[in-house]
Amino acid sequence: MGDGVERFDARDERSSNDWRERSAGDLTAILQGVPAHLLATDREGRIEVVSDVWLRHMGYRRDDVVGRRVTDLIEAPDLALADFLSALRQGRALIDAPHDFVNAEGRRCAFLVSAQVPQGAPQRCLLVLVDVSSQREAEAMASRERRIRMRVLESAPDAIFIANASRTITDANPAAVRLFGYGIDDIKGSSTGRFYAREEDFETAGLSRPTHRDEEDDDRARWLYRRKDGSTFVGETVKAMIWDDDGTDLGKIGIVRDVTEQERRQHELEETNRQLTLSLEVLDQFAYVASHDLRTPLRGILHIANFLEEDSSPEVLAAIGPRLGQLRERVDHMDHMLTSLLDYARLGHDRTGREAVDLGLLLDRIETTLRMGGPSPDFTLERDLAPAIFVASETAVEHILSNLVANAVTHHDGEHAHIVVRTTEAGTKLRLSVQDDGPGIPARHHERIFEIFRTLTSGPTRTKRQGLAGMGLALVRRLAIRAGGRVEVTSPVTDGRGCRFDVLLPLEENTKP
Amino acid sequence: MKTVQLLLAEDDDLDAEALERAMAAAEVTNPIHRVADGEEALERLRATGSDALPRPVLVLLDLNMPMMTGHEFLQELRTDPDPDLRRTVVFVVTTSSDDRDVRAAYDQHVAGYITKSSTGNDFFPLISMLRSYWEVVALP
Repeated sequence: MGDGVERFDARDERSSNDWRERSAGDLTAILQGVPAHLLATDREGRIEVVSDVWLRHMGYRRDDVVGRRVTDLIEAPDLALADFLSALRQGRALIDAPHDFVNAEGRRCAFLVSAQVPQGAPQRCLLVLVDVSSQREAEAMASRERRIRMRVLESAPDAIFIANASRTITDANPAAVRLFGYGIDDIKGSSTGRFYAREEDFETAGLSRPTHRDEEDDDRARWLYRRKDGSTFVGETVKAMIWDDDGTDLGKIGIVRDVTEQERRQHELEETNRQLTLSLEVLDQFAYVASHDLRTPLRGILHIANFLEEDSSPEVLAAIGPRLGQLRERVDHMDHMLTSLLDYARLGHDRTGREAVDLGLLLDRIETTLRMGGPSPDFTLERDLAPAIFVASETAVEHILSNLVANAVTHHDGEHAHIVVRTTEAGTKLRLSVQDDGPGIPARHHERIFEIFRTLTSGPTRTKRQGLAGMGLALVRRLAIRAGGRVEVTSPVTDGRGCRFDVLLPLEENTKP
Repeated sequence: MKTVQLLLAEDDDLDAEALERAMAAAEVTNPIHRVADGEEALERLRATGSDALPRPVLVLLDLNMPMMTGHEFLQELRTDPDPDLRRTVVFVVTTSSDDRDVRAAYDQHVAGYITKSSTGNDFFPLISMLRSYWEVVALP
């Protein structure tokens, strides 16, 4: 203080004006050191002194701002700035609204400004600034959140109610107004009990109220509600508690969705499913019984043919022999059809497993069986298997392959059939293809070949040479679909000949053994 | 060794005749008692006195028959109060190769399940098997 005392002593000798000039230096030092946002300007707003704290806050150096008009640092419309200056001239306080000061980086900082003309220094103006940036940000955020909440409420397709702890509705959204048919003012202030169709539901629903915020409150239920017009509906309802910071029960949010239609559809679906299962069972049963019962008379016919043969004299036998042969052929054919029909029906019964299928072994088996049967054309079975082992139902794959390969051989019109069996991975599917170099299938038949009891050649020659029941491809398709896949046919393949069947089977992660 | 009696439960006359002819052709002379369904078969097995069926007996049972099916016959037979009846040896001879039929038959402790192919004169393997069976196996 010694320095100050010395100056005080010296002051006595000077005029009052001079004193003021001298004391400005002391004032400057004091103001600069004040731990607050302070500016001193002249009455025209030119900055003379700034506090260190404010300089640090704004990132300015003293030289950047001293001598500038304070309004140059404020971002505001010209009119507002003129007001600001006139307030300074009059020494009025400017604390009604925050002002945006621009800092050294060009960003805005909001301050409340209080302007005072100090007594005894009428040429000066002292500005005390209060930083309100964080407060402003908080307000802006709160306002944004309010807007988001509003929009969510307004645009939600489900009815949303907000009720307080005593179950009085404090707010509802437009969907709630639409769903229940009441006006919003009618809803607000109502007890939630008004919307339940059954009084006991209101009571039951109230029982599930948790008493502490840590309690589980995943409250989902279906209640019967009543609209203003008296009609009722089933509403799937989710309720969530609202807790205050101190754990006070502030009430609940209830979200209601009309599921009447959904429930009706579900019942309908269940009923359809039940009917379908039933008729499938009946169908399976029918095919099973039919093919067994039809077999008995067939066996009888065959027995009669055998008895006739056994009981006939050589002369008679010579005469009727060929006819007996024809009769047996027809019986064979019919029997074959019945077997296929039974196989087809049985696919509905037998559970098909999932196991590692070794395609190489499977094809060996199929080839052996085919050669034993001695089909007319000779054949080679080329294999291009990648993968050769995969997880599927072995029964299904065997049925599919043996049918496709047998078809390729028996429908061949030449002396030698060349068949290629190939597997490739096509995305999530396994492509299993069987290609032949036979006559091919005209495009107009590509759909018909998959129908039951459908062969493209007909008449007795077929039964002799090909022995086909016309069920093979129907079976292939049913198996592929049951396995979650499908079957496609491409024909001709090359030079107007050949046929390729692609069976696509699902290849999941776990299907690679 | 006592002659084994064959009780053939078969509703189809032609099937029965075919088996009888096949037996004759294979020179099997064991008596064949033919009945047309399960009820008749039970009646024949339960008969006493002069009508009693000589023992030992082997039942050849068709499954698909009117009145009482083969499965129903087996059910009755295995729960009969007479222990002699319960332990009767039964072979199923049928056209059905359905897994459910096979399982249900063995559940009732049949000695064997033979599928006759629906066509063709295929009784010879069955006859030779039966002949070996009663030559080798002790019957109750």
